[in-house]
Amino acid sequence: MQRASTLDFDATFDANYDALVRYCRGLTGDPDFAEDVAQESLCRLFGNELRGSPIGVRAWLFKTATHLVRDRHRVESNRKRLLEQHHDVSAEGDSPERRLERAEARAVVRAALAHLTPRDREVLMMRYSGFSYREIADAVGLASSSVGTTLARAERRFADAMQGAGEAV
Amino acid sequence: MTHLDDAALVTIRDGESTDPRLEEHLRGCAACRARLAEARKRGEAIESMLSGRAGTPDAALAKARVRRRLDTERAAAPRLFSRAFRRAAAILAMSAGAAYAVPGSPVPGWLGRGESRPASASGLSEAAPAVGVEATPEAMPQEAVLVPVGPRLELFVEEVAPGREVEVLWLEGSTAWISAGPGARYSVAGAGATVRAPNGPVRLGIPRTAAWVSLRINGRMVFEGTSDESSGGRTVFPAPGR
Repeated sequence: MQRASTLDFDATFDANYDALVRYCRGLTGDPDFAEDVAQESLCRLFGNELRGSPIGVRAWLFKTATHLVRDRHRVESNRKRLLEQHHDVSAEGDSPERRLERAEARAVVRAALAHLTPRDREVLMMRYSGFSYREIADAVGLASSSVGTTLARAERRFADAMQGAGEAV
Repeated sequence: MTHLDDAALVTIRDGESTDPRLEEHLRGCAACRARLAEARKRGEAIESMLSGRAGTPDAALAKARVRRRLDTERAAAPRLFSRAFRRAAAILAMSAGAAYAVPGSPVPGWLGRGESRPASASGLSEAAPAVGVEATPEAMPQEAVLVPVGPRLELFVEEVAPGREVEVLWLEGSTAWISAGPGARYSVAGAGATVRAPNGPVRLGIPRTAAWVSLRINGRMVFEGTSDESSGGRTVFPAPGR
């Protein structure tokens, strides 16, 4: 993507943020870090005043997030800066029971995803974020013809791990 | 034909198959159709697990946070960049100088061929020497510096007159280079290279295989990502003003 006029901040943010966080959670198993990566990706998009089609922007964001997760140290320094600048008040509206329930559910999925290699996790999470095989191949650095093989293996390992934790797949 | 493997089944399930023989086999094979149905069921279950249980992030808070950060960075941009650039220049000077002194270091090769010369106190080499660390790509001009290409390639073009064109050639080779005409000063360190080019046309050769490229001209980010596939091998960026 090239720099040009700015994107619509609200529309772009609303269309991508939740999916981006879910994707990063799947990759990292760390909800806080996932949100940091998603926000960092969006900051780069808007900070650099990039533009493109909605599909192109979405692919760029996920690809950037993939690189940021791989380059974890770089984001963590920004994370510390963000935490210093902005008080975190997330999840204030949830009841303790609801938060516990969510945390347990996330822990089961996180543990299952931890059984996968980083690349298998990236492919699985991108596929279930709605990306085509070509977009996945481009983002994670695979040949398009290898995405099916990688995805099938990732699904099998994830399903086995979930079943091992007592969850039917 | 033998039965379809798991990869073929998920490819068909996801509508990504381009091999008509797979579909043909499926039509005549009840066992594979049953396995495809299982793959669909498994896909739906995984989708539910990955999206339904993850919890919804606090998007409003995140949006406010991103907006605040952008506002802060935009307000502070000139001062921060200036400070960051001074720090980067100092680091470049130190690392180039240190690497130059190490026996076997490629830095002298990057900075000059034949008559190797150390980086100046500012970290910038005065001339635009051609070098021969690797086989020189055909498209590379006579006067250029080579830039080592790792997973990340960060290029800074400075002191270009606003409006002047900076040309990027997306190459098939594995070597990046910068050519900026007479009077240009270059600095190469780590994953990055800086050229100050007050006079000449600036051309950059960047391998398509570079995993991640960022290009700043006069302090403004003009490109970040992988190679620009839509450009037909050449992209031109008008230099922004400071």
